[in-house]
Amino acid sequence: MIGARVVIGLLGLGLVLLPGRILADPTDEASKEQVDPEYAAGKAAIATKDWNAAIRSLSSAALRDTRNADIENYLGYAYRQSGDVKSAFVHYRRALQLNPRHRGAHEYIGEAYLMVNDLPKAEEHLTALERICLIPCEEYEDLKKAVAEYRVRGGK
Amino acid sequence: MPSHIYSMVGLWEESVMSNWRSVAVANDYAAKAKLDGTLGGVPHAYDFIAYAYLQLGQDRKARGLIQESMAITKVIGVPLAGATARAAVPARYMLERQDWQGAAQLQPLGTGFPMAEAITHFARAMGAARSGNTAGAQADIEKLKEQRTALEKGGQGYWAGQVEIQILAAQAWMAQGQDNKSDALKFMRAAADLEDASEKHVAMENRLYPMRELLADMLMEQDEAAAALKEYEASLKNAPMRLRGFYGAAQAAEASGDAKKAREYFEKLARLTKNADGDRPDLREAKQRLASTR
Repeated sequence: MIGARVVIGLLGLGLVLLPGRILADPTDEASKEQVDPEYAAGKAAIATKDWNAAIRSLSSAALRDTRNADIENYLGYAYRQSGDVKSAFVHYRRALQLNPRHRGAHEYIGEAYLMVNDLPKAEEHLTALERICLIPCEEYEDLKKAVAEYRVRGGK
Repeated sequence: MPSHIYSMVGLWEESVMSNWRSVAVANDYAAKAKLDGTLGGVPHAYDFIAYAYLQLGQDRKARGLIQESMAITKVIGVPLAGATARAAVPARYMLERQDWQGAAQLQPLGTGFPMAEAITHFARAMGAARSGNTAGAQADIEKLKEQRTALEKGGQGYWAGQVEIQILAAQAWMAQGQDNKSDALKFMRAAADLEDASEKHVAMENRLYPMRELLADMLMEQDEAAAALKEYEASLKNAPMRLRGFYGAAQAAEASGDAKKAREYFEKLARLTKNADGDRPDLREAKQRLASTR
C-alpha cells in the first residue's frame, strides 16, 4: 500500500560515527510491525481468529502510530469478524482517509457494505478498486466476486 | 546535507563538489577507523555525483563512477541507501543517455533489497520496451511485480508504491511499442500522477527518472507537442535544470510552433552543457538549432 508517510531522515547521520561503532541506518524503513510488538501481536491474533485480542493489540498500536492505514484496516477487519460492523466501518473509513488507494480497505469495506445490504456503496468501492488496480489486483477480483454472489443470493 | 539541496534545485556543479567532499570525509574516516569496507554514504554520494554529471552532459565522468560504484564490495552502514545508489548509478547512465540497448543489458546486483533490485529491472524493462523487445520488457515487468509483492508482504508500503509506479511506466512504454497509444498514455499518466503525489525517500531523493518527463516524451512520440510541452514544463518545476527536460521542452515548443520558447530552452540547454564531455545526439542538435537561428 502506498502510505503518505513522510520518509525523510538525515543520511549524513550515517557518517557521524565513533571509531569502531556503526549507527543504525536512518534510511532503512523497517516494517512497522517489526518495530511495534503490539502491531505484530495484533496480526498474530488475527491469524488465530482471536478477534478480541487483535482489537486490543491493534488499538494500542494505532495510538502510537496514528497515521498507519494498514493498522486501521486490520482493526476494521477484526471488528467486522467480531460482529461489530459499526466499529469496522469507522476504521475502514479512517484507513481510506489516510490512504485513499488502500486496496485492502476498499475490498473489506465493500464486503462490509454487502453485510449491511448496501449494494450501491459496495459498488462504489468496486469502482474505486477498478480505477486503482491498473496492475491487476486480487482485492478487485475478490470484491467483484462477493458483489456477484450477493446479487445471485438476491441481496441476502 | 547540503548536497541534497544542491541537487533538488539543479545546482549541479555545487552538488558535484559537495558530494566529492562527502566521499573524501567518509573515506578518511574509514581509513582512520580501519573499517573493512566502504561507508554507505560513499555510493550514495557517487549516485548524486553521477546524476549531476549526466545533467551537465559530462558522460565520461559519469561513466567513471559506474566503475567506482561497482568496485565497492562491502558497504558499512546505511545499507539501503548504499544498495539503491549502486543500482541507480549504471541505470541513470543508460536512461539519461537514452541508451536503450545498454539499459536492457544491465544486470541485477543481488543486493537483497527489493527496492534496489527494482531499479535495475525498471531500467531493463524500459530499455527492452524502447528497443522493441516486448518479451524482454514483459519479463522484467514480471520481476518488478515480484519485487512489489515482496515489499508489500514485508510491510514496506512506501517502496511497494514506488515499484508500482515503475511497473506502470514500463507497461506504458511496452504498450507504446505495441502501438496501443491509449493504454500507453493511461499507464504513463497514472505513473506520473502517483509519483508526483508521493513523498521522496532520502535514499532516492533524486528519483531515478521523472515520470512526468517520461509522460512528456511519450506525448511527443504521439505527436502531441503542445500537451508534451505542458508536461515538460511541469516536470521541470519538480526536477529543475534537467538536460533531457530542457531538450524535450525545446523540441516540443518548436513542434508546437513556439520558436521563441524553443530557442530559450535550447539556450538553457547549451548553457547547462557548456562543459559537456560526451557526444549526445541531443546536444549536437541543440548546437545546430542555435547556430541556424542566429
